[in-house]
Amino acid sequence: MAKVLVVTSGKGGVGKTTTTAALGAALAQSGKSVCVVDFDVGLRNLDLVMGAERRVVYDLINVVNGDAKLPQALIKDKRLETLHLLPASQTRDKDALTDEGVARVMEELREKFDWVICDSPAGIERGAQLAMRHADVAVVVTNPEVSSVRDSDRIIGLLDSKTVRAEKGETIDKHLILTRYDPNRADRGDMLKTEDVLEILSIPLLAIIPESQEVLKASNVGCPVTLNNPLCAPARAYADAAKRLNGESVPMTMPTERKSFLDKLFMRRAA
Amino acid sequence: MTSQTLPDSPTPRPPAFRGRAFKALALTPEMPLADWFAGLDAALRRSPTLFDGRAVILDLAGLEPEPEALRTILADLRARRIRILGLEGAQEAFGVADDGLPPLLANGRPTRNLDLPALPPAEPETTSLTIEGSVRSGQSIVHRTGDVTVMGSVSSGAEILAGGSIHIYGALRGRAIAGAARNPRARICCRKFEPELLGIDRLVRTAEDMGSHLRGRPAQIWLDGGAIRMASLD
Repeated sequence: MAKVLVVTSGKGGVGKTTTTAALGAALAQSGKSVCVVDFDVGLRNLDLVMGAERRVVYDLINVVNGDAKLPQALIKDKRLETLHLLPASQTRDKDALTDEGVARVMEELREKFDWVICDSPAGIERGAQLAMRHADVAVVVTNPEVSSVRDSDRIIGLLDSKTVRAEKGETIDKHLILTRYDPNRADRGDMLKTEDVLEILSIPLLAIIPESQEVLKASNVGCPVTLNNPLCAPARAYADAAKRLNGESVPMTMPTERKSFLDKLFMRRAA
Repeated sequence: MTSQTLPDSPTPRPPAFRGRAFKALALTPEMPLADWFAGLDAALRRSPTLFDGRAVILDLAGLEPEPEALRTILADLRARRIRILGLEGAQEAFGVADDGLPPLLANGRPTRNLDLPALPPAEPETTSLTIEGSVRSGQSIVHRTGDVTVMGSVSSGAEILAGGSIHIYGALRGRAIAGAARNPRARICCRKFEPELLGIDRLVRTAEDMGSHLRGRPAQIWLDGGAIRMASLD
């Protein structure tokens, strides 16, 4: 049974697109067929992070409007055979999406894939609501700071009221991924603690992604962080998250970079 | 009763009515009536002035006589110098009319079968609203007709507006306005006090004016003489 997962946050810049790409790649590595869908019409980025920006011919809007068939618009990943991308249009805006068109495309994607991962735009308006509308599972991406937490809270309220499942009286599984987490800063009290975020949002924790240069490095070369350097801390955290989404029970650890003694010494001086 | 026109007077005063209470004796005739009157006569022989100057009520509940039988009973009592002030336990329906008979009473008060007045317009129904989960940021619960109970938390940026009281079994981090239906007796209770704004009956207080002594603790908020009061529930 195909599962539609929406990656959402309310606030911009917290790591939705990074998370979509990383989870998509990690799930595809586990042998599932995966399609990542960019819902950020007008501000598309997922194609860049996936390294497919030079292969886009048709996009989501074309498929929604019936100008192209779904297989024509899907871009197959060069590194993972089971990973596909449905890009957004950069020249249109979110009003170009129709409710019926999106419903039809999501239905078609469900038939083809094990996992459909929708990368939501920031905000709470039409674009974000269409991205979450058909989801079975939601991953809420949050940074450990107050504005991001409050925006996520708002999004959780929308997930419980504006999705097809909610309107049918069913529940939608919601998971929290805490990104850009810096254990040192959290210890110093410069950052909200994990427990505080969990207490406010009261949804189960799927992963804690540590702040890392690897994330930026990976997106600059157009490769999901889980493929670019599978051994780095954020990649391992995303891989664990993907396992948990597949129903595996993986103990929650705080992944840290493996540092040499000299690195530690250097970090301490810098801080 | 006849109506009459009062002569014009410089200071027309309405007639004064005052309540008076008397002890009344109640007589309960029983069948057969001949035996009952014999017993009554015996009592009168022992104490001839038993009924003199007394208010006497005739309780007909067990008897339900026909009008003619009732007249006979009343005449027999009058012959013994017992004057009946009123009838109890009789219903207009079984024929006790007002022609010359004492008035009908119930529970010691004059009574008459009344036409029920039209019901006053119904008060708005009071209902309570229970919210199973949490109220998330941006959500607004407006319930003007009663209490609101939230089993979870009220997040920062969420608001509850209730006509009655508000009970929050989680943390209150958003806004809570109780007694919105002009109810100064409404209260707000929460298990973790971190609100952005509190209001009861049009009085509001923002987080800045609350101090920090209650922060994170179970608390109740109420109105006392036009001022919002807050106290820990511990």
